[in-house]
Amino acid sequence: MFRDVTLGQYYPADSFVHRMDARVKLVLSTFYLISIFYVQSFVGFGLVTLFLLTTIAFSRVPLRSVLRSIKGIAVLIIFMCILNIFFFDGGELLVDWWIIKIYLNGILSALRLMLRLVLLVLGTSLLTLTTTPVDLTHGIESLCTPLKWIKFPVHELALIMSLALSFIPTLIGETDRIIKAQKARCASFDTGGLIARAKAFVPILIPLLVSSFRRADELALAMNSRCYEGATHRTQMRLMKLSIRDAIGTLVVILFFTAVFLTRSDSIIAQHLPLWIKF
Amino acid sequence: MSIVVNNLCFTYNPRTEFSVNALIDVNVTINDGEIVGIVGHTGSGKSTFVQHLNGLIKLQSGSIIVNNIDLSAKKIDYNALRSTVGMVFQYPEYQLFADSVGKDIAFGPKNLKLPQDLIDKRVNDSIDMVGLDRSVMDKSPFDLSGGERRRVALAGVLAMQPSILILDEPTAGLDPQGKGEILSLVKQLNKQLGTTIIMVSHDMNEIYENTNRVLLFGEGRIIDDCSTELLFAKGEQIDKLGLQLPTMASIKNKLASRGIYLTGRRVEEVFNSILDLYSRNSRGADNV
Repeated sequence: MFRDVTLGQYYPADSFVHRMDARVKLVLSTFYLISIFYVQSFVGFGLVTLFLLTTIAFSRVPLRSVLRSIKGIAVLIIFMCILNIFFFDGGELLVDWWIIKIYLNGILSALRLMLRLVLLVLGTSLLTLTTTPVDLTHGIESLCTPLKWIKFPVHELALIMSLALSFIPTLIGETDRIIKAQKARCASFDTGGLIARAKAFVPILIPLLVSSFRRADELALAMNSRCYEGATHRTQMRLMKLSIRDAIGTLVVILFFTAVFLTRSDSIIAQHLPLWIKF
Repeated sequence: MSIVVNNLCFTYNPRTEFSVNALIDVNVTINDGEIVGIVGHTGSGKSTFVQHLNGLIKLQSGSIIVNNIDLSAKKIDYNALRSTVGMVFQYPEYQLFADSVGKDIAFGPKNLKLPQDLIDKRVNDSIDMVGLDRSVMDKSPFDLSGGERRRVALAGVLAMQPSILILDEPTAGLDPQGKGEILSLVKQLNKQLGTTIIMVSHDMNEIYENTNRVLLFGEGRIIDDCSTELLFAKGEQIDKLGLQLPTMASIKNKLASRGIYLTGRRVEEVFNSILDLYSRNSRGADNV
């Protein structure tokens, strides 16, 4: 039931992308996200897609594993597309039937939105597929270090995050077990009306909540008994080091970003390109 | 009326890079009223196997027939199946949820849509069966001790009146007294109601003393299926799998290699058999 949660699931492999520094990957991913919302034309989207596919190829993560992450937001994507198609006007009127009016711009904007969402989810899940949660948290912590100057509890927040991440598999296992135990007592989660179904989750949620608190308590005790006292005087076990790999990765992203920039219809180069590129 | 399993195979995450063969060609028949132990290493397929028996895991290939319910059929009456096969998971006390003990125990019968008076009767009966006082009925399960909570969880399964009871590590984390109580309750169920007991455990002493037959699992297969006495008499096989020999079995095996044969599996029984042998020997010496 809960086995296909790809977001945040590390795919173990030894590849160029896996071995890049988590901090660099985080920064480059941010640039990637910016580029997704920056592109307008479909040529630009083609470029982004090409870049993503190349990165996936270099990460040695099977395409299927990356694509699995779309499943979770498929409904959202479809819903947003429908909204865009029916409630966007401008451009050529394509369909005019009863109260339904579909314009060319509606379809184009629906397509863009769909591409953006898909690329967004694929890109971010590629980041989590190739970076262990621990590395990711370390990366975020390291990138946020400047915030310490304004007394922002960076280390504590990073700790909370890494603990939350590391408990996800445990909690999934626990949920699975509780569901099975209640099913063994003939609980059913897919019959009755909306309220009956919502009520059916009480026998799962309460034991889960209770055990989460129990685990949190035990963990706090274990940390206390080992003299944990926050960020002061703590060193890292794994030191992050930049390598030539990160330089190459950054260079590729800069090239890609420049190319994307050039496809924008308002850039100087694009004015000399044929009209169809502007869609 | 029994459990018949034929050619059962199961793969986790089939057709993905994480696929694992959890069960490979498992064949076994368990008759009514048996007490069967299931032993094997972590990841040997024990849990996957028992979860098949009440339909918690859908059949992939092979066939299972439980008390005339065919689990390979397209439409299975899960309520009938799950009230026939009761399942007590590891640490069952963590699955309690209701605000009172009575309500929690009534959860199963209520899901079976039984009339209220029958539900009340079953709740009372199972409270009595697990040896708790009826006054706990209105308490919150979270106010009870660990041992008591486990018995409440057990009562919640017994309220379904299963004719087959599967227990996964029923005594894990209990003190010796609590262990004894749970085990004697299980034996009593078997004796008085004829309930078939299937017990998964890592504690070989527990298996040795309380079961009559053992299924030994290893890497998804049943490696051995024989009487408890016979399985542990072959010490090398257990050793080779890295499992521990029950204390009484290892004493008996060692003495047997010197030509002294003891009987019984519980400590008292073996002790009596030693006494018996000793008094017979000394009587024999007197005669000479």
